[in-house]
Amino acid sequence: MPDVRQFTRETEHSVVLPSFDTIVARRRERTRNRLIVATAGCLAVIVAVLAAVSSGWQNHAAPIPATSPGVNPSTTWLSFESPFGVEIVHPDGSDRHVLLDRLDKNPHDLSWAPDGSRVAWVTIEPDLSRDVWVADVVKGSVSSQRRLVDCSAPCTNTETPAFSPDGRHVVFGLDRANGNELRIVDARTGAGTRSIPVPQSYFGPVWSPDGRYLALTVGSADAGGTPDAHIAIVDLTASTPSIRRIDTGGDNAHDVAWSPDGSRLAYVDAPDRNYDAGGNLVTVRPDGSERKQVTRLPTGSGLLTPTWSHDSRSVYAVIKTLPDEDQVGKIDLATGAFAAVVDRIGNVMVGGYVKVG
Amino acid sequence: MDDGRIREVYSVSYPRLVTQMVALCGNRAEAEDLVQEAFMTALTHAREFEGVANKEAWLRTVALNRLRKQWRRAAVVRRVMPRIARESGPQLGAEATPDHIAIVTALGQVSQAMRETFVLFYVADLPVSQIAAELEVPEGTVKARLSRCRVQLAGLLSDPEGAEHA
Repeated sequence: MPDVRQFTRETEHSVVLPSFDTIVARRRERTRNRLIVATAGCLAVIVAVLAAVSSGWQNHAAPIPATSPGVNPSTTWLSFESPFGVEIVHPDGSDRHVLLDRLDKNPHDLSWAPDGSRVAWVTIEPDLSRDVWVADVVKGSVSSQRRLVDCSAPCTNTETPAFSPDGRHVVFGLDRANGNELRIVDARTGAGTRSIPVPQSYFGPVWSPDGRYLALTVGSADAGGTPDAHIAIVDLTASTPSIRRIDTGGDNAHDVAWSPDGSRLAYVDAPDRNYDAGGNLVTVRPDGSERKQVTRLPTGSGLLTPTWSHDSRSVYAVIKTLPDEDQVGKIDLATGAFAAVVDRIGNVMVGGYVKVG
Repeated sequence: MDDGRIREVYSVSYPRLVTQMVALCGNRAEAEDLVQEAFMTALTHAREFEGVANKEAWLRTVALNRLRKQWRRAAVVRRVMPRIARESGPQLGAEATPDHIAIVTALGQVSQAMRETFVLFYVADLPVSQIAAELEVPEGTVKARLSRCRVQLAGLLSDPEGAEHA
């Protein structure tokens, strides 16, 4: 058995110490770049405000994001992942707290039931399997946690659960040694009701508001082995659903979200296929028409995991503007202007899923 | 805090921190970048850094937080193209021995929490109490993770010839 202490000694001795002046120079360069980005950001905000004023936004702007019928604004939550776990916060930035503790089986990929009364998420169990869990949410706390899907052999992985519009079902990705699939199960019992093979790599199935379609990200490699990503639609009304790609004008689209009325999709267009860095927000009709780039973020900035506000006027997302200073914020779809909800989370922010519940 | 004092910390702690990050992320270049970023953060927050009692622990936390963020983001890429991610093993440089590669590969197969705990105990050589403080978990959790990790690594690192040594 290899000796860990020998590994430590030998690796330490092999480390070549770079000149400290190199570190100092890198920091100076970063400070300069931040100044440039901040200046560009200020100019963008000024332009966005001027554009909004000239279009008469004062006549219809809502001070608080509207909510779906039956959901009181005071119980509307955004959720996002951090090293503390899954956190939630009101859209006005108040009452931020941990909903699911990271130390409790590393929860991630949280999804809200449409009425905000339940959540589903994926855990990493002590045996490294990844199970789907659900719980009720009452006054910003979870209760009645229960395992919905036990990922045991031949299951090797589950991820990104999402509730159906009527809250009766949950769809999630399920990987097996002999093929991957989207699995639809009863949200109360976990009993499987449907399996849809997904031949390509994929993630993030989300339900259309009418329950007839799923949208997801599918990936493949081009001749050079570079991963590409596309937005695709699955028609659940077909007896044998097929996966149909949407023309997004490129091969670097990911993190799709369906608008509340089902008329549009929002997704992230990752420049140069740099999926880690995020990208610009784009909206498109499900048939691929009327594609519109909403944001034009400066180089080095990007957003991830968009989700729509209930009134369809804005999109919430994790936004990278500066290194180690990620934010959760709201993007006005008319102007592209950005407003922070959770500001400068710093290098503890790990991206994640922002959902309005 | 003047640059000179950070330089002193740099010359002593840099190799140790790089080694710990190599064990955690399995990539020599990425590990060096993480540690250099941590020192850049120390330069930016020099006044705060001066008041820190255990400066190496502070730098390690900064580097570790950054690594955690990269893990989550990398998960997006892995899900888009899992096959490519599986085929890219540890990148430790030309000087790495087969044993080094075996250790880092095995560490890459245990959970993130267990990996962090194991590296802080066996590579950073920290006592359980300090690991508990740095990871913000009870000491019992550290001991439990170490125990589980040892079992898993023994299985991952043993082979028919080496089983009796394990």
